[in-house]
Amino acid sequence: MCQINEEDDEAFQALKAAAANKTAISRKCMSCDQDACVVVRIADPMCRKCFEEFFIHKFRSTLSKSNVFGRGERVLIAYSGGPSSTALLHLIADGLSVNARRRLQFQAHVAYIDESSLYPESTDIRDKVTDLITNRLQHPLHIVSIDDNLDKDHDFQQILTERTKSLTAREELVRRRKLKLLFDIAIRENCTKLITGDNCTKLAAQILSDMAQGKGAHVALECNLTDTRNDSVTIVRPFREIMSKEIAMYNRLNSIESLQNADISTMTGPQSSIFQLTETLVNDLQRQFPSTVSTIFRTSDKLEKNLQPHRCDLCCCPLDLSEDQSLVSDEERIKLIQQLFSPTSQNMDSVHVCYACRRLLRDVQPISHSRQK
Amino acid sequence: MHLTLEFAGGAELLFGKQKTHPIDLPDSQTPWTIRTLLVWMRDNLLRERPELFIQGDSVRPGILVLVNDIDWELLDGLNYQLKENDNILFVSTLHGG
Repeated sequence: MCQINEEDDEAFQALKAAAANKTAISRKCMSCDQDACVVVRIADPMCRKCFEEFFIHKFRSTLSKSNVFGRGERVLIAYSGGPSSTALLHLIADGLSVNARRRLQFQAHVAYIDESSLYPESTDIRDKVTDLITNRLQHPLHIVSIDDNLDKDHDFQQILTERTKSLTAREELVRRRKLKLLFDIAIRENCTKLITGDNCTKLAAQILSDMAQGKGAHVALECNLTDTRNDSVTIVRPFREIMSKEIAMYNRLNSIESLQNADISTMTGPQSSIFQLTETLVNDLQRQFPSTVSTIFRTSDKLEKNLQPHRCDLCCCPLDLSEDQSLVSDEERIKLIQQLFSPTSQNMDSVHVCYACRRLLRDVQPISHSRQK
Repeated sequence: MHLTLEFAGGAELLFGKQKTHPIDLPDSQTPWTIRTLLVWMRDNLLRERPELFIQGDSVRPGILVLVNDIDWELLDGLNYQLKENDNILFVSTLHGG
């Protein structure tokens, strides 16, 4: 078993001492010698102007380096109301504006998944979102409720609270459900790309959490700039090299307010679910060892596995199990998957899931079981 | 000493959902630092779940601290001595947007 006894391990102590003794950071910007306002990367101080240039440049070059978008391409932006996706909208608005250098050439639509049925105190979030996107930014907006198109036996809120026993399973169900709804909107609106605001700090925590749940086969896909799990809609992650701290700083300097900061895990504590644990771990480590996130990324990028050509019906990733092993035979589970995850256009003959999704399904109890209580 | 505390990114949920808190710290023999401010906040402002905000004698990793819009890492961190009318912002970057 791998174990480090921290007191005894010399290498670990040496690293820790080096981190503690690092010389005080200079207060002048590394590029232009003005007063610095923020420290980025390992220990690089930057003034406001240089930081904003750095931030915007990282965003634009990530997009243009890879020639991701075609001219006039219809693109769907996934807006969650949180700080990353709000910053994303702001940057895209700048990039689309007439005066922009190397102007972005796609047609932007915005999707918002309304999760307010899952929280006890839902406010007028829809109005705020509409005001921001339709009135101020003037993009076509598509709002879909997370319970969209579900029959009465499959009320999503009920499935989460009564039939799913762990917060981990709830988070994972919500995550997959949101992605499926976003794909649906994109296909319906003829958008060939889906842009998300996932930043690298969150992605690093997601990678570790996925590995802990048996989804290691897909981590290279989850942290990639372009994610082609869906044949019609490619996911693009332009913030994949941007840290959550940088986004927070950019938002503050530009008075960009996020509309929603709560989700089902809010206030539950750092040990309430696997993702909460890994997010805490990544942030804790990053404080002392600033290359934590980039190391997680570099490593995950290299993890390839031979995968089947067929896709999982829950998460849409290529299957990591054989045809027989991935087949779902339980009637109730098949119905659940069809209700929550099947593309609105198709009926499914047989349902296949990957290893991690199969484990996830085990945490959702059948209807008959919960009714007995 | 009069200060303005601001909370964002979800941190405000721990402080009565209020994003801005003007406060007055009592006079003290030793100068106020962020370290002592945190202790004061835990005793006087934190409505619930202190472990979601404070870890040891600092803030939980994932919470960014800005003093007058400057990263506290540029200003001695916990040892920064507070001045009259400073604006201190605590942004939570946990469970990303």
